Amino acid sequence: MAVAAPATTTGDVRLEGVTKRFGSVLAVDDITLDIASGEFFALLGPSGSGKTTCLRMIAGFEQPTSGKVWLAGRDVTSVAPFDRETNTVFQDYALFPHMTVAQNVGYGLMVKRVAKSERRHRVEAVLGTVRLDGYADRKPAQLSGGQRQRVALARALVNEPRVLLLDEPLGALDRKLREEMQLELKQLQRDVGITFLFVTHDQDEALTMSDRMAVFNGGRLEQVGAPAEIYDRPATPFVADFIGTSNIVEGAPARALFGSDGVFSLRPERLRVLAESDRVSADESSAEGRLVDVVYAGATLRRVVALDAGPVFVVTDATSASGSSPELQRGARVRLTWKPSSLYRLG
Amino acid sequence: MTTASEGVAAGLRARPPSRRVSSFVQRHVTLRLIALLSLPGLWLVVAYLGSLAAMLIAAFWTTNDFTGAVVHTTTLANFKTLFTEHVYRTVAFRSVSVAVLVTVVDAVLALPMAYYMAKVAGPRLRRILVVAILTPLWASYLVKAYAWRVMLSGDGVVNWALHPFGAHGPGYGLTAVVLTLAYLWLPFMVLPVFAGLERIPDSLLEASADAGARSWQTFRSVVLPLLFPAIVAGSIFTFSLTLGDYITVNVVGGTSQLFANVIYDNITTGGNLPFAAAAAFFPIAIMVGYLVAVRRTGALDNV
Repeated sequence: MAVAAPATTTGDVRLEGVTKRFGSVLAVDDITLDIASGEFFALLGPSGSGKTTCLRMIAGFEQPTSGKVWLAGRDVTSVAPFDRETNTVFQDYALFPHMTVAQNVGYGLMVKRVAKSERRHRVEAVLGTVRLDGYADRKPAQLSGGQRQRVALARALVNEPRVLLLDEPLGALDRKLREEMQLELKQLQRDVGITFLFVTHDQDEALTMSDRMAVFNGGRLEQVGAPAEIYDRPATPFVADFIGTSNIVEGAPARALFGSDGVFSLRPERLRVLAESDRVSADESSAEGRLVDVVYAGATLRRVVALDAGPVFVVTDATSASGSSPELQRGARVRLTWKPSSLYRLG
Repeated sequence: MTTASEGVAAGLRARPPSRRVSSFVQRHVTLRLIALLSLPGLWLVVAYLGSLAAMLIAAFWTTNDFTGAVVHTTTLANFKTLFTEHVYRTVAFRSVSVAVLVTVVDAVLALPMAYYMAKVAGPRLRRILVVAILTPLWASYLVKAYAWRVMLSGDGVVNWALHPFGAHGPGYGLTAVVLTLAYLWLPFMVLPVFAGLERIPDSLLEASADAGARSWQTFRSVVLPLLFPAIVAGSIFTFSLTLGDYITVNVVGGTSQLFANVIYDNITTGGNLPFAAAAAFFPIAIMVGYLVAVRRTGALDNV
């Protein structure tokens, strides 16, 4: 098709002023987003923030109420899912229960009338890629959750899509398996080299896996950027709070603590808790308060400090770190210290 | 320890008798099962299987040609007549053909209807449609059959509607029987297919489209295989109800006869109960054969 790509279309996927309404509900509100070829891109947000609707509009399962969807320079806004160069890994995997693993994986090739021998060859190869050799003749019901997830992945990858869409792909797995799969997916994306676009509500997952991410809230985009950029320089209080934890201060307490009006964010791991009598080094700021809670969480120690200036701060330390004073008991008078460079001004 | 157990015993004694009975039953699983299943079990064994057994035994008796009295000697005479006489084979073949046609017509009508109800209509419209499908079941069978008789009559609404196109209705006969029975049994096909479709997650249909399949391919490769058990369930109703029907064929069938008429006529005008009992095994044998054949396909393995 000889559709001239507009100059603005640079990447693989582009949403252009996309809005989606379901009846009176505004699910996606005027979003413009560019995803480059070969990126591992995360759509992150709480449930109901519009991230899944965006993914479904890219896959073609939903039509935008207004705006355009571009795939590789082609306007696909009104193109049916079966004519798009995308494949989806569904949240519930959506494996066909009446087909074997091989039939599930080979389904897209069968539909496209790929010759039987080539089909078998490609199915075998992709099952190897997701480490499921020897499972070709099983039915989905005979597989574990992690294995089903791999079948869903293989079924999408075998079609060699331009863009792979993943809808909460690891949501149904237990924590240990999820962490394994995060690294494996990342490795897989590097190997196949196509664009991965995945939806998640888990900020750790987005930070760990993605090259860039978009943070959604209430149908709108809050911020787009690399994980480190979003973590260190959140654009809005919502992002600061949703990505990791932040101690956010504004108004009078901000004036008292930081000597300035505005909204400030301090990451819990950038704070140190000292006994009130301890000396503060010259390059640090400090504030006094009372230790109101101590939570031991394995690798980290989480402490809650009510500052005399008003705000309540959360402080996390690695339990092995010696910088803070772990022996402090609940109710003790303490001193919080931080480097001024850790303080981030939101607006 | 003694004081403690005495205390418990005293507590037990203090409870009202009804509580003691229920806690006794609670502790005995077998007792609970007996209470649950004795009545339906009795019904199943005595009324259901019992009458079937009585029929099976009666099928091997005969009647005295002269007096018409039942002769209680075991013989295969009835079955021999059924297999050898040409007329019974013709009627049997006709009955099975009508049953197959009714089932096919109902399946073809039910699939799009049930699909619309389960996957397209909103929850409100869905409830209305389910009621609309069920409502005809409240009306009398005879009234519905005679309604079709009136519609299919010479100056009935069918002929009147077809007249401008230069065509005319089927009149009374086997076509009218198929039409009427397909109308009567349609809810029995729509409901299981609707329930089956509701159990197929939308994501499976999306996954199929995502892999590149158009609607027809999705229907053939994903929906139909998963729906097969539901269609079989519906077809058991439409098939067996048709094989057992002798009224509709009398009302709209003209001169044609179906197998159930053989049974009915032998009970009433023929006065040959043993022969009717033997003939009744034909639809049973057909249904058993059908179920075995379906089971062989493996389509019911995932149910």
